[in-house]
Amino acid sequence: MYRCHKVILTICLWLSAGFCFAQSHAYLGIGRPATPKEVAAWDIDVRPDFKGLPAGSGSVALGQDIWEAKCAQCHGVFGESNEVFSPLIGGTTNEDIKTGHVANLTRRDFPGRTTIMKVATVSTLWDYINRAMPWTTPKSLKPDEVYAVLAYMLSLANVVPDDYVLSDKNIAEVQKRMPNRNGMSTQHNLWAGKESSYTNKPDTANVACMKDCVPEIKVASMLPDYARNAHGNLADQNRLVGQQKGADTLHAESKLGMSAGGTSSGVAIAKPVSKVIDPAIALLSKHNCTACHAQDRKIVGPSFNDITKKYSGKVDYLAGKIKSGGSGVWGAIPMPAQTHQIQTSKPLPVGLPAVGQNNPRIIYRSTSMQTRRETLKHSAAVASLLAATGLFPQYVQAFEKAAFDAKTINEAVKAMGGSAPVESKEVTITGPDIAENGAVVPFGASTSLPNVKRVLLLVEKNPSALVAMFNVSPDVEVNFATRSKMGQSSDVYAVAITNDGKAFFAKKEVKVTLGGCGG
Amino acid sequence: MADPMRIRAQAAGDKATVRVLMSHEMESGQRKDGTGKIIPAWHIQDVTATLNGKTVLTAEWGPAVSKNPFLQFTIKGAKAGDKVGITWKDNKGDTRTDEATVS
Repeated sequence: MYRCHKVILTICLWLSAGFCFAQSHAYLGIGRPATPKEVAAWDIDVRPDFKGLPAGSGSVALGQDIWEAKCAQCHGVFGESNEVFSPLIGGTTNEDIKTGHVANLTRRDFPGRTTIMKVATVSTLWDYINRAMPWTTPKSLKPDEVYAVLAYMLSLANVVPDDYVLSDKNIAEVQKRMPNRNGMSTQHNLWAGKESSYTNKPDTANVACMKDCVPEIKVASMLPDYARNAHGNLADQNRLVGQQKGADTLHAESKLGMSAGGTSSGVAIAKPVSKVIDPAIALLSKHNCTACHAQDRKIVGPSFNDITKKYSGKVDYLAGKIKSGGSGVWGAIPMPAQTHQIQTSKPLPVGLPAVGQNNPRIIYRSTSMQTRRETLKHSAAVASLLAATGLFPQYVQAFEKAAFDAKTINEAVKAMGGSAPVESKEVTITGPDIAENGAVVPFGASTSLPNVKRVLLLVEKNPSALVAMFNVSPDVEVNFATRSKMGQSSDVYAVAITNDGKAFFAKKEVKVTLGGCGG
Repeated sequence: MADPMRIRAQAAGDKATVRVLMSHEMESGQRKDGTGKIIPAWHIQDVTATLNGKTVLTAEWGPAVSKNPFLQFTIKGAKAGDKVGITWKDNKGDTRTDEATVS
C-alpha cells in the first residue's frame, strides 16, 4: 500500500511540476506509472468550490428510498440515531440557517455534536457519501443517488424543502443555507490564516540531526499501565467529541518501533493474539464484518461467540442470514443483506463457529445465576417503582406494609401476594451497556406474553422513575422503542402488566458517563 | 405552534413499522437557569396513534423522555395506503397532529 501511495504521490508531483510521463522510467523497479484513467478513478475529491463535482441531480423522495434501504440501519430513519454512530441530523435551527453559525455549538450543556451542526461545506458531505458510503459497499452509489441521499439529509435538517431536487446547478445555493457555513476557522497555523500571515508553511519543523545527536529519546511523561483502564475500556464507549471509539484500554499500548522485524509501512501494529491468523478472521476483516461484530462482545450486532453458542453447526441457516440480512433475532437493529460481497456463502459460516471455539475465555453472565435473594430484591424494587408512579394502588398498599429493606424483602414480596412483580424471560429490554450521553439513551421494551395491557419503562435512579407507559391495544405488537434521559447509572426496567394485573419485568443495568437531567 | 413530526410507516408482511420523530423541548424540570431558578418541566404527556382513524396505541410520557422524542412501534394488519396518525399533547396544553401514509 505504502509503495502504491508513493508511486501515485511521485506521479502527482511530476505532473504538477510539468514533467512529462515518459520520464517515469527513470525509477526502475518501482512499478509503472499510473495511466490517466487510473488517476481519474482515484481523483474523485469534490472541493468547496465544487471543483470535481460530477453533473447530476437527485430528489428528496428518491433519497428517502435509498436512505431507508441502505443508510437507516445505522443512522436511523431520520438520521437522528445515536445507536451506532453520532447522530447526523439535529441540533440546528432555522436561525442557524440564517446566520451561518450553529448556536448550540457554543452551549456547554448541549449534548453531542451532530454532523450537520459541524460541517461547513456541503461539498464535504457529497464527497464523503460518494467515497465512503454505504459502509459495507463504499463507492457503490451513482452520482445521482449521492445527490438524492444528500438532498434527503438536507431536508431532514430543514436546509431544503421536502420536494427539493438537488443538482450540480443549485448546490451552490444550498451552500448559502448550510447551518454552520460561517463556523469554519482557519485561524491556526496549518492553514494559511491570519496567524501565519497567509503563508502555507506548517507550524512544525523536523530537522534531521546530523551531529552530536541525542542517542535515545527520553519520554518525559507517560501514563502508567495501571491507569490505562481507569475510565473503563474506551473502545466500548461512545464519546461526545473526537473519535467515536477510543483505544482498547484492556490491552497494553503497542509501542512505536518495537514491532519485531519491522513492518514495511513503518507503523507499529499491535501484536496479534495468535501467530497464525485464522482464515475466518481474515475473511471477517476483509468483508468489514468486524465493523459491527466483535469476537466477545456486542457492538452493533451480536458477538461471534454468542452466535456460535446459539447456532453452532447450523451453517445453512447462518449462510442464509448473512446473505439476506435480517432483524429481530438479536435486537431491533437490522443487518443489511450482504449479497454484494460474498460470492460463495461457504467460507464465512464454516469459519464462524470455529472463531468462537478458539476463545473459550468469555464468561457469560446469566440471570439464572441470581440468588433467590437477588431475585426478590429486584421484584421488590420494581414493586416500589410501580408504587411510586401512583398508578397502581395495590403496590402502594403492599409497600406501606413492608418497607424496601434487605431484611424485609421476603415480607414485602409476600405482602404483595399474587401481584408481586416477577422477572420473566418473555419480557425483553434492550439498551446500551454504557451510555456516554445520558440525555439520549435508546431503549426498547417488548414481550411475547399474551394479554398484556400496559408496558412501562422505568429508570430506577431518575428523579421520577417512570419514563413512559404504553397502553397496548390488540392492533399493535407489544414492542416499543424510544429514548430516555438518565441522570446517572441505574438499573432500567421494562414491566409488562397483564389484563389480570400481574407484573412481569426485565432488567438491564446501564452505566452513564455524563448525566442527562441537570445542567 | 410546534414543528411538524416526521413519521415513516413501512409495511412488511401483515404489519407496519412506524417510526416517529417529534419536535419538542422536553424540559425535564430538573435544570436551573442562570439565576438558579428551576426551569419548569415542559414535556409531552399524551401520545395517541391511529390507523385509519381508529386508535391503536396510547402512551403517557414523563419528562424523562429525551428531547425531540423518538418512538417506534408496530401496527398489526396495516397495509400500504393506510393512514397512520399521531397526536401529542404536552403539559402546557399544546398539541399537534400529523399523518403519514403506510408505504
